[in-house]
Amino acid sequence: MNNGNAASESAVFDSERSKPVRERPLLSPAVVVNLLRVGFFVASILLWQYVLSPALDPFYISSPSRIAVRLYEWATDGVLLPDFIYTMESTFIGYAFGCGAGVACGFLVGRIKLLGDVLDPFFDALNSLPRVALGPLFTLWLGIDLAPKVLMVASLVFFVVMSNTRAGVRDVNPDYVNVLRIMGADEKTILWKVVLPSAAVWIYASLQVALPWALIGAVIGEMIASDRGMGYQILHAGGVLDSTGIFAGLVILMIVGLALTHLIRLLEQYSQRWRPQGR
Amino acid sequence: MLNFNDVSVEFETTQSKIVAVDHVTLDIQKQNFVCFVGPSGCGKTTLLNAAAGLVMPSTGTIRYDGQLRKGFNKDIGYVTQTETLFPWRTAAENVGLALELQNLPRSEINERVDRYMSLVGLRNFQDHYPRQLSGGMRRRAALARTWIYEPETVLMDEPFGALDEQLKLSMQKQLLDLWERNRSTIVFVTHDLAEAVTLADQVVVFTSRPARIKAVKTIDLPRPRDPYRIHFSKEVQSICAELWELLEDELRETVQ
Repeated sequence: MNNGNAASESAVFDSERSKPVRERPLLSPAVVVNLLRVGFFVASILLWQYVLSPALDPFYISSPSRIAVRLYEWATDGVLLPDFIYTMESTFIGYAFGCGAGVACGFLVGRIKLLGDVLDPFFDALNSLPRVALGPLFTLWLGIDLAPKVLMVASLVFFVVMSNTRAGVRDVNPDYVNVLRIMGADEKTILWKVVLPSAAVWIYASLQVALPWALIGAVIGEMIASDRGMGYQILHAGGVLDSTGIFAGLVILMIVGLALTHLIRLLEQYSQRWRPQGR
Repeated sequence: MLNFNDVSVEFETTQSKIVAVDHVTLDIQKQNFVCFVGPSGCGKTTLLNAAAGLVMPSTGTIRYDGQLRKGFNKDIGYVTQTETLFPWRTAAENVGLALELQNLPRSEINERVDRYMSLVGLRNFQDHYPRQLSGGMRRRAALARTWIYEPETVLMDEPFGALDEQLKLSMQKQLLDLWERNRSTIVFVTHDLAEAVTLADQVVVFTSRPARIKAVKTIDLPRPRDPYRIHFSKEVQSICAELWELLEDELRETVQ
């Protein structure tokens, strides 16, 4: 292995990662993007505070300063903490159940062709049901505590994850499967070594998409029937015409949603580091 | 020990039936190095696929060690022409795949991966993902992935086709050295007549599609052979000329 080796070593490439070295601009593109983001955020807040709020009526659209004060009050006296925890509980438990069941069912209907062919229209039919409309049923079955909210969350998350997993499992390159079969692998090994890793891209994408749905499910569940939770508090603030309270609740939900999405993205980037970055 | 008995493979498309392999009868002896040559698209790959168990013959039988084979055969390793390194595994993880399936201890896997990656000149690229390797390097990693578990019989479909001339000679030498040591049975498809003559005990010449056997030529050059030396030698050249005559008519048909 002496000759030809040097030539091939220089042939290594990774077009995504290693770019030809050039003179660097003063600010890297990432910094520029971040600066513009901060600028956009600040401009929006200022517009709301100094133009929209005075021009319209703070009674209807509140204002950033009022919302900030309210958030500060909530943070210091901690009245909202139990509600917050309650909502997070139903979000997480429902998300975990929905994702677990979704991945498992996606695998089954993806791998077992007959099962998939038979069940597909039923899944489609169930998925087309507006889940909100099932709320009263969930309440009837499970009462008004955590369980109906968990079910609401899981029912939303499940279909997103299931249909993606199914697509990912069916998308597996048969050549990869044959590599293992030729080496004498059994079905279980094929599942672990080829089907799961190659469907992982799809599964991660669905975990990300499903996350906002989990929050939506939890809040909707609380709005349908509850005496606790962020959804209940927002509904309550609406009832007493407190727009600041509504907005403050929304801000909290938004921050939670962003943080969780970011967390999943990090997880994905780590486990999918074999793929070209920057998509 | 690998016997094709009257094997035909037909594919049905919506419009027509395509016969890829037409009544091939061929015995490949244990520990022999056999090269298949023939016009491109003639059905050599289909024959390998059938031997590996990826395709069922439409008629005829394939026996291995005298036993009828249906489906996959653990004793046959196959380096396909399509690119099948797993993109989510590093080069080393790809090469070690078969050993992982055998549940060997990690230390032994690492040691053998190291050895075989050195053999194909990829020692310094163990942690690279396939997309970070050049096409030729990916081919070599795929070779190492099959060689490493030393199957009794190895099918190789134009394994060195994408490599430049120097690298090709060097890989031929590695392959011959390896084969002198472990004496697996090798079926090797190539376009390169000199390569076939350099490596093989027998060269099987196929007709243009459907693949029928046109001739089987035994190569009597002494072993061990050194590809660097004999590649341009008179003996090899004259056998190539002989094979070329056999192929010429077939190629003319293909081009027309």
